[in-house]
Amino acid sequence: MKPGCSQMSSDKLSHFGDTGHKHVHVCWKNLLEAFTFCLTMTVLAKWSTNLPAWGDVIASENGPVEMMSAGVWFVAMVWCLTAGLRRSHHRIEWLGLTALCLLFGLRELDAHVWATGWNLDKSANYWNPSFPLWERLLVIGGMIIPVMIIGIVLCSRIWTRLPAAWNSRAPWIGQMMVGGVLLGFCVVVDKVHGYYLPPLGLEDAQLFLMGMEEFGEYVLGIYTVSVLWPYWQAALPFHHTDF
Amino acid sequence: MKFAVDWIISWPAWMLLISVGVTVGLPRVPYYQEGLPYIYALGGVALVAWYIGLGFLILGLYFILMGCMSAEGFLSKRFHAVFFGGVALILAGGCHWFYLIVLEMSVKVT
Repeated sequence: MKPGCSQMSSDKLSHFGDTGHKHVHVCWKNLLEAFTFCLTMTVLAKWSTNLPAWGDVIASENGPVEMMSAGVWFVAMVWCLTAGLRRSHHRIEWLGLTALCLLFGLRELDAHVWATGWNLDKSANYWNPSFPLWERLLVIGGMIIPVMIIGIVLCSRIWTRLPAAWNSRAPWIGQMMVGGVLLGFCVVVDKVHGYYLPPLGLEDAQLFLMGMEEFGEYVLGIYTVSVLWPYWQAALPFHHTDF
Repeated sequence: MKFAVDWIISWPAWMLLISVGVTVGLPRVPYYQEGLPYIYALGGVALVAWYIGLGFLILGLYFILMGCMSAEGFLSKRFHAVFFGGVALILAGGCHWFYLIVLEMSVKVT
């Protein structure tokens, strides 16, 4: 996945770090920036909303952190859509990312819960006859299958470009690795606090891990934006403006 | 001045705008405090429309600002960016209008 990269000037590439090393550069700088930004925004959200406890800000459903996280995905969706409509060169990648950002935003807003009343995280619900068939088809056909199709298409396109990108030490390899690790962290924490802590008698840790999950998802969204930002600028009309 | 310009063209400035829009703006939007999306039948759809509208609003502001700030002398290019920004702002307004219309049409499910 290398949307718009051919349009970027060398100074914009330098945002991703030195790619002249013999190893693929892992961009911790983006992650550190995203973490710092999210921490600052969380403190400001606590101050501006006057919520009494940090748990209300970070760990509550529909709390400020979750709402900000959803906002980041929907804004990213609009920008990816604009880049995809603007650039024909990497249109499939941009439109795939558009759909992914939309689905991530819907997932963050718990669209599956207010649309059907049950949680799609529990795969057993897909064949639970107590839920209406049309709801199960909506979740599977509207969220699960689209994510799989987009994932397969993007992965196949990445795979075909990987050897050449690896040889040229393309920065997006390291960026994707860090993003994948962050996504994996959020999924694992989500599963741990939801399903595995209560049987272990660790309910007290549940709020802490829920906060970590919500904050991690916010960092993931901001990290994605920070990585995509130069690519967006390269794809938008004024990418070589001289300020 | 250069610091301000560098800040405006960086991602934190626009992500900050999302935080302000969501923490300060969203609670003041009509119907939101009543318990979207669980109280209204189509509350979830309206909420998604509001979020997409926020995306268009930020995109539109970015285009207009970049169009106005561009140091390049080509008027047509500046106009092009500002025009796109205007279209994005109209779409943002349309999303907000859709949000209000959907909630006015929707029934409370309580």
